[in-house]
Amino acid sequence: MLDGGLIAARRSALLSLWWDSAVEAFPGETRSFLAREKDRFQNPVGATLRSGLMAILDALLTDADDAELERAAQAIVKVRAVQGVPAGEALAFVFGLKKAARAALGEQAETAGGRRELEALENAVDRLALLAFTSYVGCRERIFAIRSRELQRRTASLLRQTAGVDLSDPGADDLPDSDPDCAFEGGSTA
Amino acid sequence: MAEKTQQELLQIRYTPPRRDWMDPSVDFEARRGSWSYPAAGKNLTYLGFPNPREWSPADEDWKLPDNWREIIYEGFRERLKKFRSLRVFLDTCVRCGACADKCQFFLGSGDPKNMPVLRAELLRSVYRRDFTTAGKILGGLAGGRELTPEVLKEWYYYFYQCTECRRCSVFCPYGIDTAEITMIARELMNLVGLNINWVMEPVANCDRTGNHLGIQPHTFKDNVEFLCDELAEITGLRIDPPINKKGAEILFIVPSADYFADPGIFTFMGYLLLFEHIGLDYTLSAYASEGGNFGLFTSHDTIKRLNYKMYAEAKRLGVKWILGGECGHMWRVIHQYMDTMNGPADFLEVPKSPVTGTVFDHTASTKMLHICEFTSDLIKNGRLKFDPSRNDRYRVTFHDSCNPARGMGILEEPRYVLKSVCNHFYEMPDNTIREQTFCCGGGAGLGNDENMEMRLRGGLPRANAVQYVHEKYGVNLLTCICAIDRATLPTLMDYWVPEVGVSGVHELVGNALIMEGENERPTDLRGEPIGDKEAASDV
Repeated sequence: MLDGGLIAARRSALLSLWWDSAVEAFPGETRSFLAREKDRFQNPVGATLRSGLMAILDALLTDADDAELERAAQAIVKVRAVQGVPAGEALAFVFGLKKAARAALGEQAETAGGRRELEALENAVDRLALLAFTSYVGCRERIFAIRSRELQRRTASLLRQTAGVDLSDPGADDLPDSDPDCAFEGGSTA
Repeated sequence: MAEKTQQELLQIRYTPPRRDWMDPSVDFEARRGSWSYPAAGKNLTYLGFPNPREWSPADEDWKLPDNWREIIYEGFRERLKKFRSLRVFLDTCVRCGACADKCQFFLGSGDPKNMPVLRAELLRSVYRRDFTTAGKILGGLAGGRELTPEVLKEWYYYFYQCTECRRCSVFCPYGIDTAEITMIARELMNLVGLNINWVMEPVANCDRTGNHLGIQPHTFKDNVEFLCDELAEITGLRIDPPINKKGAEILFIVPSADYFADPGIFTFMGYLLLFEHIGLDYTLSAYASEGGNFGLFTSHDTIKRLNYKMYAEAKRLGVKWILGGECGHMWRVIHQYMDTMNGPADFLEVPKSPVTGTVFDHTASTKMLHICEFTSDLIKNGRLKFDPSRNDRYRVTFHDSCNPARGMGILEEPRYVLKSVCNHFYEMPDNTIREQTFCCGGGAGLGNDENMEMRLRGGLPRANAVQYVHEKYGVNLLTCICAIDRATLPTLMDYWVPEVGVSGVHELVGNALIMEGENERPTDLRGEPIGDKEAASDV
């Protein structure tokens, strides 16, 4: 129902407002850098945020299913999960979309069509929040698994040599899933 | 405390409060995962370092000596006199910001104090207040800052978050080397017992047994023999590398991880096959059994103390010159410090390849040659027989390890070797390789597991470039010439690009070498079927 609607017509303004809200989590000096540097290799966090927000919004506007929506959110979540902030703060960007959408619509937010779309979007954001939280937990579990895998790697050769124990290194596929299909910087690179 | 209304509770400000950067405050308890455990007292006692004790950065009381401030001031004064570069680096920065966005820890974390200019300012502000006339008169107005316990705690947090990779120095128009500032800050902290165990335990072990892991000579021999057993199983060839052989032509020194831990051991097997292939007269040493030198992350005196064993062992064994393996910071020490600290090595000869006759004049002062230079010369002269198709399961890229790349300019040789031994090689984007290479995030003693989240943040820019070539070319193997990289990059890949594995360059050399008298090889050095073109990530 959002496809081709009032919010979709304000996509670009909405993205800009959502960006402002998402980067509020960073200190001032960092915010300006995240916005300024466009090279994705020199500014991976900024590039991930930019393409990630876009991917999420497009997924929401086209009424994407859960799997697609989770994949769209994954890139940002993966970065935020290792930035040393509490879970609530890491995922705060999700809820920033509600306020940004209302602001982007301006007076149209009070029209019948605007109210209907905002309600639909806000429900979708709640769904997104749960999916993002699932992803976040997946990332954190992966970190714990990686930590033990690193220890195993350090001692595997020693155990093979001294005890004849072959701790076959688990493949990456055996680690908890944080969606390995996802390009964390977002967007296609082909 | 009055209860908040629901409306008040919902009004969350996500913007960090604005605070002047000069007001230090690090909540260590809240930032677990971003700092390293302190050095165990036993290691400081062994080394004769000051203030050995058990403590934690999360404690309020860091158990500093009563006169800690005087000790640091005196140490600062002494170093300003001793190292002219330090005074130049502290005086000349104009805060132009060229370095600000070049540190991978800033790029990954967004913490402004990881900007090299601000990291250096943590030390520079104290210098300004107490060692410059303007600062003595104007104090804070001249950018001066009092050395308080909070400032010292901030030093500990941020100077043990710098991997001394020197990427920022590439972009500084004045040539300020922020790694040198980190080194001095760490020296000063060492004076009052603020060090991390991932540095001091290897230093103590290296001082005692000659390597970071504390491996004694008989175990060194066992490890090498075990790897030879594995090689015999794969190739059918029995190799018996000499250890402590007096009168050998060449002393070969590697990082200890190469004969101890995955995946370095496969690189070590590659070395052994190479030397067997050309019939090299060399020896390993059970005493100079470590290329790495964690003194670089401790103090200049410690660098010298640990480095000395290389020359001492070369002299004892009577070799002509020294060949070094795929190690990272070992090469910065050799290239930039060894000759000044422990040279001249006038009892050694300028390295000359016994196979090709090439004389490596550029090593005339240290008498120590990098194995990638040695191998590429062999290839250039057509002395090696390869079957690159044995590496066809890999689509390979190369990570320039910070120290060989920026510290000594080893840029072309590993690429030349790789292109000779495998059929699928792809570069990462230009602004992420060579002199501009991004750090693995685990150098300078930060490669420990308690600091893992900081490593994952700092390693993001590197992983980002790997992700790019993985998607574009199907790259599934990240090669490097540094033991710390080989230990930390697999973890980085596990999180960010799990389809990509990690190896040393000479592992691929070993795979491709056609050895006289070998069996037909069903597997590569990892025991993986040679014909298997599946992704290499589960290595």
